Amino acid sequence: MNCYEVAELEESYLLGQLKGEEMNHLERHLKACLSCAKKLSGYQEVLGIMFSSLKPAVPAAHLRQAVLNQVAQVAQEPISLDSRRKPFRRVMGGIGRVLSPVAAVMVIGLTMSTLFLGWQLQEINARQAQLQEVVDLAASPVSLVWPLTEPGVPFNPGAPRARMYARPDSDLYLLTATQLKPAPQGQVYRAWYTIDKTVDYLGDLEPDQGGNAVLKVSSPDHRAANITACFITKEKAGSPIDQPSGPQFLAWNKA
Amino acid sequence: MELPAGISSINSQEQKIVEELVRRVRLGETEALGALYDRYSGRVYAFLLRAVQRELAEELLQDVFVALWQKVNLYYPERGSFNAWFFTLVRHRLYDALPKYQKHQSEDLLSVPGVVESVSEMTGDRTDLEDQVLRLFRDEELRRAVNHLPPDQRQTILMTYFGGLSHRELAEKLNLPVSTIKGRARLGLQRLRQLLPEQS
Ligand SMILES: [Zn+2]
Repeated sequence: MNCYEVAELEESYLLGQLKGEEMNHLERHLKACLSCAKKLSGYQEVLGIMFSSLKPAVPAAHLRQAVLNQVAQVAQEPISLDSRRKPFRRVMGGIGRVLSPVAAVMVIGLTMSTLFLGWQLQEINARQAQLQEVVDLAASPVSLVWPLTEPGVPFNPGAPRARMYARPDSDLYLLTATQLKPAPQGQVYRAWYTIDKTVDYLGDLEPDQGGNAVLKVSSPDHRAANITACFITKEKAGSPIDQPSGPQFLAWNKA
Repeated sequence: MELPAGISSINSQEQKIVEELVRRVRLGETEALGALYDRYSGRVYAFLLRAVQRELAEELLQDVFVALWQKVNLYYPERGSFNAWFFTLVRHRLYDALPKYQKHQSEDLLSVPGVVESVSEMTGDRTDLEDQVLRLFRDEELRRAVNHLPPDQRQTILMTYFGGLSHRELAEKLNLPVSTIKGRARLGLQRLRQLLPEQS
């Protein structure tokens, strides 16, 4: 790769869109070519400074809420291990730490969701496969994601919350929850979803010491797109699973 | 939420606040995204209004912040500042949307207000349009630095990065190879970097 080709790729590189061979070639060139490494950061920084200096125009006030409503419904793209190679930024200063595979997995976990925050390092290897499933589910453009929150309570970063993921083309249903308190004595957290007006049992959630829970269910029901509600209730341990009896503790309901 | 005037005010303090908000957005906190929206929406909207009509600008403004939410894990601080990454993202979302928009409206880019009313004059040394774009910047130092650029470089930077034209479109208007436009952009940015005061 020559300097001209590098210049062509700089925006894709900044946007994290480069993969595989292209990424390898670019990073090899940047390490070898001081001039490119220097200019690359320089161009983007100048544009960033110009952008910062724009006189603001005031958008209509309702747009802010519209944005927040939309993001509550869409998943964040996970970090791709492939593009998370050793950073080069030696000219502009900055960090040059190399991520070990374990640490890299941890980085994904940390950024995927607060769910993984409480995990200890040694647990991460054991859960790596599970994590990969979350990553795959969250990354797939056909995946559906339902955010579950406490009904009627304004957003609070410390409150319990959960997410259910499913793909219409797969049997996997995944529910992750975080900041859960242990279920009251003799009770369990139980997850449900509603399809075509029928409530189906998904499974019981067992929070770990950090308040995190992962529920993975294989279900041949491929009508995930028709789900109109998913929610968690507190039920008596061992009670029948034909229908929920308690109030919705965390819920998502189709508007 | 408004920055005081002056480039030098984009200081490390502000960067630290933004980095912290970005970190929280990575953890899925919609609140933090709201805070970034409060910080950046005015500038993004100003930029978009320069390129497209209000209706589309409002649509794109939302699109940009949803994209920020979705793609925040693709921002690598070691590759550049958040401003650099985010503005690149904003421009890409705009350029991705323009062809669809034009098809939809069956309008030429030239008829979109604010973009290129005076393309015929763009071959001149200086156009009203460039002045209009230049007035978008509130920082006097920055405007002066841009004015110091050779005319072809100034035109390229103002029109392609802030005037809503792609490199290819400007090349077509001026009947020049795209590589020439890209070269001018790079030279201009390099020169600007020298003209601007060091950032903290
Ligand atoms: Zn080079």
